[in-house]
Amino acid sequence: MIKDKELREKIRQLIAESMHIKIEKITEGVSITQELGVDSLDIIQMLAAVEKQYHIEIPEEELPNMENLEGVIKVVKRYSEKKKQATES
Amino acid sequence: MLDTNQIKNIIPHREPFLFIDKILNIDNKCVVALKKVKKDESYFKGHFPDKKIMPGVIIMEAMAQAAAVLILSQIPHQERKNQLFVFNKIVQASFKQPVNPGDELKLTVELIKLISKGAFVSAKAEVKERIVATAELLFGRISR
Repeated sequence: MIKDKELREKIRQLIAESMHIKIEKITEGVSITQELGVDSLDIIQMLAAVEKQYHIEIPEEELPNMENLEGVIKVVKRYSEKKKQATES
Repeated sequence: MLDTNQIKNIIPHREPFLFIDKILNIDNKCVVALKKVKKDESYFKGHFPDKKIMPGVIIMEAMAQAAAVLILSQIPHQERKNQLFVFNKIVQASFKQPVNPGDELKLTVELIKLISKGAFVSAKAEVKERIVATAELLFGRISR
């Protein structure tokens, strides 16, 4: 079970490292694409980083849901849970 | 294995700007390509007149062309003609060892992520099992 606080901090770190953004800038409500200078193709690096960290595969249809920190956290949780259910069944 | 003609059926690159000779292996996630570095490559005349070294950017272009084979081979033939993959970002690149005339360059490219807008790959180039260059590259897909 991923602890929420740890998950949030890890995801902030992954976004910061993959997109070369200072971690302090990644906070709730800030739009990664609109405010932090990340374009719609660059974001593939962030997608790849979270997929690799959590061993999940996220379809590109989820990208519009991943434009801020909360969105990324929700999507990671959802696909991690799906994966857990798939391996348990 | 794919030869030069089969490669030309997949990617649009042509001489004097085609930098892969053969594809050794290919699947959905990974391609291995070969390039024999000839003594009379056109770029050697200027790079450099007194010491022939394959330019790092050409090694990177060869990686990109192998990546293009990997990506375009997964698209139906009739759709391939409508799109091009072009460099969007060099995420990172390093050139560890010079590549000289007579070397056989082995390029291994792995597809990290493919989306409708483009692709993210990691690549390495080796000569006699020694890594001579590595790169992470981002390509954008554009319509012709």
